[in-house]
Amino acid sequence: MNQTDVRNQTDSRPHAMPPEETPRVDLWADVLIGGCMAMASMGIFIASGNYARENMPVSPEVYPRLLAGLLGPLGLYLLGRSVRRLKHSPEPAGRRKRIWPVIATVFLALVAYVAVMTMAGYVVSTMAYLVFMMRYLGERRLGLIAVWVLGVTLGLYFSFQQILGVPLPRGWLGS
Amino acid sequence: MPMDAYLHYLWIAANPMALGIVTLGVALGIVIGALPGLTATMGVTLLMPLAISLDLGPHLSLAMLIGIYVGAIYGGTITAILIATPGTPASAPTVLDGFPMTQRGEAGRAIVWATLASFVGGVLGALILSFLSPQLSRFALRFSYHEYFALAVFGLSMIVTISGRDVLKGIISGLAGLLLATVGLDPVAGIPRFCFGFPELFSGIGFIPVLIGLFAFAQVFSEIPELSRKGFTLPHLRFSYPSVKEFFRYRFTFLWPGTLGTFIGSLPGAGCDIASFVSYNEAKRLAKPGDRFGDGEPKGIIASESGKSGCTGGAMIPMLTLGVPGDAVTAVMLNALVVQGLQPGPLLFRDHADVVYPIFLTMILANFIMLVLGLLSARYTSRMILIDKRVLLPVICVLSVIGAYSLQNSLFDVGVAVAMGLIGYGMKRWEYPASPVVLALILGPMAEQNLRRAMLMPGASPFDFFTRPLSALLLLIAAATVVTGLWKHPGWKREEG
Repeated sequence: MNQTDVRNQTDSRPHAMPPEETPRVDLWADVLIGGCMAMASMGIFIASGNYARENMPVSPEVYPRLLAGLLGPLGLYLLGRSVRRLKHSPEPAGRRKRIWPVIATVFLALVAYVAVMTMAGYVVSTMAYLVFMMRYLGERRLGLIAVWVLGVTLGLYFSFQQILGVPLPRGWLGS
Repeated sequence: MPMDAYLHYLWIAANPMALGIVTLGVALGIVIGALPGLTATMGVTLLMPLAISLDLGPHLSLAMLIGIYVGAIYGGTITAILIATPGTPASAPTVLDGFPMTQRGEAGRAIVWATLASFVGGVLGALILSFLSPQLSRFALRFSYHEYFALAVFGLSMIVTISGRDVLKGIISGLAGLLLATVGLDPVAGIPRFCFGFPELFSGIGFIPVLIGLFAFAQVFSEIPELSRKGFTLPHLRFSYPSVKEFFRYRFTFLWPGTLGTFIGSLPGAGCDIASFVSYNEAKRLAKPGDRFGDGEPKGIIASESGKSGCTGGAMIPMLTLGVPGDAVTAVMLNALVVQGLQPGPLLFRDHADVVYPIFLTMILANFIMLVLGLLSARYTSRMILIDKRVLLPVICVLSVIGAYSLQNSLFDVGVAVAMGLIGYGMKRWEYPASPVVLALILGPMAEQNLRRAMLMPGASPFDFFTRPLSALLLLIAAATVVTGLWKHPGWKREEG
């Protein structure tokens, strides 16, 4: 196994490609982001007008408007550049494997963890989250899961709550 | 000063009890710095009551805090290198070259380079603190609102350097970060901006939750699909200490950023975050053909680490000489000094030499201890990447959630971190760099506040920024940084072609 293979296995970054080989879906993302940036800039520019104060040489609206004034044109430039590149980008080689369901699951699990923490407290929510995530990611060794779950949950509890004096969220079951 | 005075101060700083206290402080600091969300400031703040309650006396209490400071500033590097999650904001530039080294199996070597650089920078900062405090503090007094604004602009010009392949996307990220920094109460007028009626936003969007989201959660989101597709494969890991010859090859990269970092630290309010980015940029600006910045170049790690560690000594300069903190950590230390009955300022050197001079020696000792602990543990610390990611990634998420929560005991901060995690994943996916956002969040408020305060001064004019020598010089350097960065950027040339 050479170094490149190892790197491809562990490299989670999008692989750097020359612009002319950027996949169409990524260019469409840039089109969307460029357009959103331009529209957001316009919205910020308009909304900033509410913060104007006459008795100040540099009023609160000046700085955000300056930034929005820079971001808007750059967003439009990005949009235009991406549209130009779309004409030359390669057609997709095959169906890309959908990763968004996995990302959505992980994201929603995090949101649920935080939500449950507000109700049930740190210990219960953390244990539940760790068990769910480890099982979801494919870990089947229950003994290992138990060791890590208990170790991390209680270790952090002891470190933060007792040593550092940082109170952790409490719920109806205590911490 | 007579020799027996030096020996007396050396004994105060280096007796077994003092060494034990400093070692404890450094070890605690490393652990705190490594945890995402727990910054050096938090570490010193949380442990200051402990240090004072132990009733160790002024020097030992300060020695412990200095140990925590030195350790925490270094500790943030470990997670930056191993899991692309800076433990402290100052370690963000280290991710750029540290994590690529981990990805090619050289995590241990990266940690060793970081340890050596932190040591050299830290000792350099301590030596400059010892011998040049009065001179540097007089220079720092020349900095007013104009100069701080220009310094912020100079720092923001680094965005071109750290943008990676696509400068346009880097600039867009930076501008987005600057706009994010405007959320909250206006710093001069005190009116809420872009808060939309949410009181949680009045204090703004903290850069620590954003840092946790953009780096820690985003990294987890980007690794999980690969993990669920291919399962966990043990990464390649090899360990070796660099040779003396290699160490000397990078001597300039060790020394210049450390000096620069000390200088930046001596400016009140500047901080180690700015020092590390500026030092990284400086090393990249002086790159030779064959240097692979952003792709695991040791110089990138050495420069940012040396710069931020040099800053620890520099930040003590205004604190001790003027009674003005150099950064947030020294603001806490200032408090510790006052609680102990010591008033920082020019008279401190005269009236409490037995506290001040041992502080200088303690800074040097703390860096030696950090070096020993870091080098001894590098081989074992780097093995953290061998932990099954099916276990490691959820643990990182929990650490990040707790880290974000512990800032203000606020679940809102956790929510910000999680939301930024999703945004950060999108940024990674579509190659929008995250470092410019962090840099913008740190420097944006500094730029705006100082710009507006400068303009509030009687008779103020925008031309003042160009007529004041230091301000003009910094703005010129910023402009040169942007122009040369764009000119040298291969992506820009390809676009122009």
